[in-house]
Amino acid sequence: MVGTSAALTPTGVSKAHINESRRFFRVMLSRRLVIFGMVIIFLLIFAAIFAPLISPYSPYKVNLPESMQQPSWHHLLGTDEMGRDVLTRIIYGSRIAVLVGFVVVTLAGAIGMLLGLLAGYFGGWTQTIIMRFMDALMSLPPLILMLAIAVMLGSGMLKIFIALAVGFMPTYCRLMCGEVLSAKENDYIMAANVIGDSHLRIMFRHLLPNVFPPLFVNITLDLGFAILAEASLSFLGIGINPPTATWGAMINGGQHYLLTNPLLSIVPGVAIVLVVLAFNLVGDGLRDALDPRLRGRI
Amino acid sequence: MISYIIRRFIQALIVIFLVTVISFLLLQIVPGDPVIQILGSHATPAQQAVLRHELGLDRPVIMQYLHWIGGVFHGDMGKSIIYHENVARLLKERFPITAYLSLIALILSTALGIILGVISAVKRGSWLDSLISLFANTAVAIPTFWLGIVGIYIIGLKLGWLPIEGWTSPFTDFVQSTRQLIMPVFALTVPNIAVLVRQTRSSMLETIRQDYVRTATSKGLRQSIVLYKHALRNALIPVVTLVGMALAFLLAGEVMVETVFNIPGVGRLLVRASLDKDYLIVQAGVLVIGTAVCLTNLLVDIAYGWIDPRIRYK
Repeated sequence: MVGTSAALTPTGVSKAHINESRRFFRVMLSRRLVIFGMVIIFLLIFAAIFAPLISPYSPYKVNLPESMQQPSWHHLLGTDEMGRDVLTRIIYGSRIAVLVGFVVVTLAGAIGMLLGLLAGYFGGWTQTIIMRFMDALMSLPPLILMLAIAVMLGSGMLKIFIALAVGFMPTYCRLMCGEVLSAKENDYIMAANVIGDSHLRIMFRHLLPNVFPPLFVNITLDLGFAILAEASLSFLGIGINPPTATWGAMINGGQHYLLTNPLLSIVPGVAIVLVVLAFNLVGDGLRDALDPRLRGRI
Repeated sequence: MISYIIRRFIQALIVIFLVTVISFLLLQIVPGDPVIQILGSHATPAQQAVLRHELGLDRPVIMQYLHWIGGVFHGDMGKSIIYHENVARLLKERFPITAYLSLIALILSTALGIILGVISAVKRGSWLDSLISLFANTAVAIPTFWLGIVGIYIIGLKLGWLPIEGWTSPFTDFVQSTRQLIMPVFALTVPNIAVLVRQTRSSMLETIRQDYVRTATSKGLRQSIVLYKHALRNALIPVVTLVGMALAFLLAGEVMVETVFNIPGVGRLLVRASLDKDYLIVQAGVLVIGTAVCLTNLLVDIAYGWIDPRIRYK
């Protein structure tokens, strides 16, 4: 695949660029663990999209005669105390996981980066006020901050997303501010200033595309950590309301039946570990592939 | 050094002030009338008026903040609706338990994290490095509460080696207390080790590349002396700054672990209060924990400036 890409490239693209992206993919794909992570993420998204087609059961329908069954050909991972198929609930849980990861990181990233862009570009008081406020947010353990905001806002999926996003936002702001501070010293920004570009145009047309790539690593990692954070809140009973199938709430529900059916708590945990691990592995792979200092030494 | 401490101290004060603002704002984002939320809808208008005045909600927002923060300085963080007790006292009673657990977990995870991180960096590329990296990657992905539950199932219920929950003061029964602590501390420590392993490893790798390490190697010193006398000491400096972050991380883990193992600390109080919508406890918890982390960071930074003079002049 790598060999043919050069021949297929349209003429407009420079050779350096091809080498660059070829090297990027070579570093990315040279590690089996990164590929493993990509496969897991693919499976997660696949399960989320095709949940009703994969499973013959409903994740919600109570079926007491079939409650607490051990794994069998009918119920591969057994059933819970309400007779619901565990594997089906895991598969439907992937929908919440994907939704949480996507919405929370988008919200946190958009707000955090915007604030970081403003802070880094204007400097001075704008920077001081925004960054000190972020310092304060960051001195609170994220989970406790998210818990508190979720409690205050009250129940509802959107409110949980907002609470989680506030917890993840400061990192983006800080990273963005740092990147912008160093990027705005470049000649092309000065040139844009000289030809009279507006602040808005300089920020969004010139700065943003140049400072975005390093943040991409953080986005990948946070997709996993947002899922972990939501699971923690759901486990405590402060996340998304039952009976929605979420992995955290499933672990919580299974806790009381550890002696009769330990799978109820253990399986959803395995799903969380695999998914968070997958985003971590891919994030690390991205970091190594993007970081010029680490290139060629894998 | 003095001017560095003063500068850092002022910065910490500003951040702590903002933490109080954030804690204060938490109660403002409660939708609807917080008085009705706190008292329930069956409270008489007279009761509502009393609480409204007590919380200062009948005044402008800035006055509300000043009123609230003034109370905090006198140890008055309001009254819990569920426990009918002073919030400050509730936190104070539970604080030593959480602090004891966190301290043990902090010491263990720092020590193990640094040791594993150094091994991983020194043996870079070996199977040992891969194994430690895989452990670190997996461990940050494990939910603390799930690790606790798996521990309860295997070690507590199946093998019957350790009690599955509860808390005993180490002063009344040290053996029982320790037995009850092993699993919670384990669940708290594992994810935290992972964070420290990664930092130590990258810091150590960064240091090994420095000129003075090359000089030490080329003047013929033994590899072990170069690594442990020259490189390690310098590599550990940035790791010191992680202690504050590690504490924040542990306190979050504390919320989960105290819930799973039924330990009557600040974490479980926060969860209970959250479920009961006892807003004032949650608000006070955020304030106390945020301030504690800020103060720890201040101490860490002062220590950092003391160990590494370059920092003082930045």
